[in-house]
Amino acid sequence: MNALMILASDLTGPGTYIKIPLTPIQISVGNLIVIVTMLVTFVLAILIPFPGRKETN
Amino acid sequence: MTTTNTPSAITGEESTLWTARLRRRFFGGLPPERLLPDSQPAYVASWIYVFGVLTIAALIIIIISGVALTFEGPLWWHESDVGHFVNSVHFWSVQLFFFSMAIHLWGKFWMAAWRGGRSKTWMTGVLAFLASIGTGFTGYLVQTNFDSQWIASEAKDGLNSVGIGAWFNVLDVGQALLLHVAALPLIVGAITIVHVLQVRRRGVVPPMGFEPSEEAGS
Amino acid sequence: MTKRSRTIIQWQGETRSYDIVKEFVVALAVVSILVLALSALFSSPDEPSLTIKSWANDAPSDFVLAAATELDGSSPSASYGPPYVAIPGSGQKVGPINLQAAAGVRTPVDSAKAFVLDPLLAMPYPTPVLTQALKEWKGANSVQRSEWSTSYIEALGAAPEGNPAKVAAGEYGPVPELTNSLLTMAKSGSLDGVVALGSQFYQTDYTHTLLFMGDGTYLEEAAVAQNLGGDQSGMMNETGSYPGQAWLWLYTFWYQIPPFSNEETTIGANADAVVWTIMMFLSLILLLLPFIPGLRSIPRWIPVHRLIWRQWYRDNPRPAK
Repeated sequence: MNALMILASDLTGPGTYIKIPLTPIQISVGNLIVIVTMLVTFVLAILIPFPGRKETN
Repeated sequence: MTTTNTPSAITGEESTLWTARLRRRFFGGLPPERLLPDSQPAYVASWIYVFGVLTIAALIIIIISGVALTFEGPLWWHESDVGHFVNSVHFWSVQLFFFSMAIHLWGKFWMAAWRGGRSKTWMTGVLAFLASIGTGFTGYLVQTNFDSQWIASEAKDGLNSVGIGAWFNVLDVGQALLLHVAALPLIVGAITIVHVLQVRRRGVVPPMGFEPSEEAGS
Repeated sequence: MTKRSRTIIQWQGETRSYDIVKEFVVALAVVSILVLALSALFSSPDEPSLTIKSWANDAPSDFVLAAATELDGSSPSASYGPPYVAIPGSGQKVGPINLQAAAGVRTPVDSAKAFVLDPLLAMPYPTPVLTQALKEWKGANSVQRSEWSTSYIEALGAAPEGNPAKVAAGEYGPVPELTNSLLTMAKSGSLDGVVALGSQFYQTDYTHTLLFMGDGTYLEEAAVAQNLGGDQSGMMNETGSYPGQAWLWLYTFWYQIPPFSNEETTIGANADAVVWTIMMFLSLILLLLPFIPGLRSIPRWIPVHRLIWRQWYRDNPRPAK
């Protein structure tokens, strides 16, 4: 439960924005987390071995 | 009493009945064991393959939570904790929907999944993506809060600049709401169904270099 | 057989057991749990709507200025062009093509009338001063009206903090009285309903209210404070710290870079139409990717597929072709 309480946060407060150096791009932390998670998930989905050896038909 | 049971005589391969033609066209490529298979090619063995079904699952949660919201009207969620929770379910399922869809798209791109006559599968997928963005946009318009006020005010400039705004008035929340809960979900749903049937019909694309040759037959 | 062969070449090789229904149920369970957890932990954003009443009370100077620009015809909505008002030569262009003008005025809005004059005329107990001001305005020709309102707008610009109470004396005709009465009406909350009302009993169309609010800086300043402004990649963002519409990243990207970000350039002045055209073109490319040589070969040249199918390639050496 404590872990949940730490995890839960009030997202209604003002957002934090990060400017990506050398670009005109400014991105919110919320969006950055989503996009980074997507990229990481994509890489993991390809790299993590899929269970179950082949079963012949 | 005799019962005539001569399908081949009346509705065989040569039958030009519209019904027979439609049945051949649909079920010809989609026998039950292909619609609901219990085996798949051995090369379908990667976690990347789960993102299509995850996208569908997210869409179903979107629809369920969306239908729940329709029962109480567009202002309910501002006034009710339960309503706000249902709205949150709708909000996060949309995030997971686009999350899964994008990963699914990336995977299909790197697999060149349009090979082997699967261009329609790819194209219906892209149409589903574009239709989903449009549907999501109308959803943002009908939040009936500050975000929808601002999004409507900004979006009108984009749409007006290419003449679309003359027909799709984003400042009319009634129009946006009807599009969002009726017309667009039907369109997205229809495209999704066609897309999934395409996958069932043609099978999952084989690895590069292992496409079945023409001589192998059907 | 039909003339066109509909032979679909199915996989004849090795297969594995697969439970499609179970896969779907598991996927549904996983997504449901994730969604419920995210909803319980983070809820969802709900910034309350702004109203004409909140505008008038929080930013009265901005409100008065906006009202004056409606009378002057220089407000964004009054000078917008199609689909709200016919202004020759208006509308964004891509090259020679002006779709905005071609679509025409299909949502006609007379800003001065709808946002200022009609609401004032609808007041049940107008003060004698207001009645006189309305009479004066009605009796003047368009040149006189324009002189009054433009002078007043300039005076507001020169006044400290744009405060109408500190405007220098001048020839403004009934404009100060009209805009001030409108402000009083707005502050009380009665203007919201009047501006929104159309000719019908039931209303779902907020064109008037939102166009009017957009004619001041109040709405935009609230948006910019939340990083929702056009040049803040605002299209992608959400109020508070919530994730927004990340999938709009490419659409908003163009607005952040020159020449689209520079309104002085031709492209910048027509940025909305140009960016739309670019996005439609890119969408078409994505759609037709299977047919585009070069682009469709990228997955071959950059063999991510060798990672995806590495187990298969290990177990099945490539057949000679």
